[in-house]
Amino acid sequence: VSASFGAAGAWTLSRERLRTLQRAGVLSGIAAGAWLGAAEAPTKLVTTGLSPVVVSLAMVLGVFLARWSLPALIQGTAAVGSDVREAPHLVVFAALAGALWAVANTLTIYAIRDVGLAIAFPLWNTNSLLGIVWGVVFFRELRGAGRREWLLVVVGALAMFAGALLLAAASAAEAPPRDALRGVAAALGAGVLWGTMYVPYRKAYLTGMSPLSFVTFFTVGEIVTMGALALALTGGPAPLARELAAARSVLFWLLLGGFVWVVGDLFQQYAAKYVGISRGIPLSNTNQLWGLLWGLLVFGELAGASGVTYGQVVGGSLAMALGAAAIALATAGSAEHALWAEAAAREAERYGVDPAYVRSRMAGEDRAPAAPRRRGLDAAIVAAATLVLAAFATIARRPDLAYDAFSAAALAAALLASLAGVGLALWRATRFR
Amino acid sequence: MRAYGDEPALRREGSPASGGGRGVRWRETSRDPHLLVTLAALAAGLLLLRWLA
Repeated sequence: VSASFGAAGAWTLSRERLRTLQRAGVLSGIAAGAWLGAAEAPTKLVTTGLSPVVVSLAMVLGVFLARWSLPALIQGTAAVGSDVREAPHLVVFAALAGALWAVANTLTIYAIRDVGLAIAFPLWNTNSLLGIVWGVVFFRELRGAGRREWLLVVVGALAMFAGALLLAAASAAEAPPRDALRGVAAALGAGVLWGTMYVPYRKAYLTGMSPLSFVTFFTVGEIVTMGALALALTGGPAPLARELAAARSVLFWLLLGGFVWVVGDLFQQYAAKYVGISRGIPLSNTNQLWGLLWGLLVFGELAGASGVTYGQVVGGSLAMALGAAAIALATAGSAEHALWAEAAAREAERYGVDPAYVRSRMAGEDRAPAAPRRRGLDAAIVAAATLVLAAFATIARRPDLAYDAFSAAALAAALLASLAGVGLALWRATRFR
Repeated sequence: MRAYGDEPALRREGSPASGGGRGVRWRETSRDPHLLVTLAALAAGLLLLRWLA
């Protein structure tokens, strides 16, 4: 066994390698924010009279298509199969994480309905604070970190939370609160569920599973739960089918939104893997900033708003950016990394996963040559997903929404640039492991 | 320095690593505190939804 532990359980990972992985993780977290924020754009369709449950279900269908086709395209189904053989118990955790996501997402619909986005968003963004707690309690993150790192992460998270509050206050053009207690409970509940969802994430990545494999099973839990919730909330198959049929001309945009969301989520998964959940999740929570940019520039939200509102937007954005920068600077040193390795060793011991697999994957490497690709199956999955999207595209029509095409194109270009830049950095550092 | 593969617990009888098989792996999963906290959050979320709907 080449993986050996020092007295503190430290794997011998060079400082330079640690820095490379840290940089890849931080960049992934930032790119995740941009893509997750852009994916919020289709939720604007709720304002065109579409049922929130239909919007959510259609986006999850898009997510499902993307989560089977992108991994097949990038690493191939053979690599997914090989990951599952190493640690089959993670399939259960991935599906459970997907179920948590679906319930949390549905809770946000109630939260927005009852207290408005302004109050709801910062409340459910507390998920990053819970992510820090679980990271420390379960996975020994930040233990062994210096006072400087602790300070940067805690102050950064608080600054981001304050920024979220300011930004939310600025987007207070929502309906007046209807039922404060129910709305706040729903938003906090979503925060708790999303915060806890990161436990399976981190568990999978400590064990060494590739994020591309994890999401393949995550999405099964997600679509089953969302399907069940949609049936329960709309009153059964017939009413749900009627609502979907009525929305068919915009389903394509929602599927596309789901696709965009998956790209963001994949970056988020790599951030969780390489910088931990206590740092990765706050970074990807900058999605609120990007969501606001889309709202302001593309959909003309806040047009003619007061100076106070614009002050809140600038102040909130600055607080979020500074908070994210502080967290990005809180590098995990070798002492902390040694404790991560201990947590990983505990996982490997509990489930009898090959230590060499765990060690090499945690370092973003692979101990064996890549599994031979099943080109036929991979191509069939990608082709099927493309066909479904193309079919919906043929019946799609432009939604009845005013938008600024130039700003949309500029933001889309920024997204593609982040995909290319961060994707390349991640490929160079980890080969997407 | 101790090699990871020499961890005594890894060789304990009935552990998945010692060839204890799928049953042991599932038993480990069911006792895992990570599973308990995940299930508790899911149950709480579903109860909350039931109250809201």
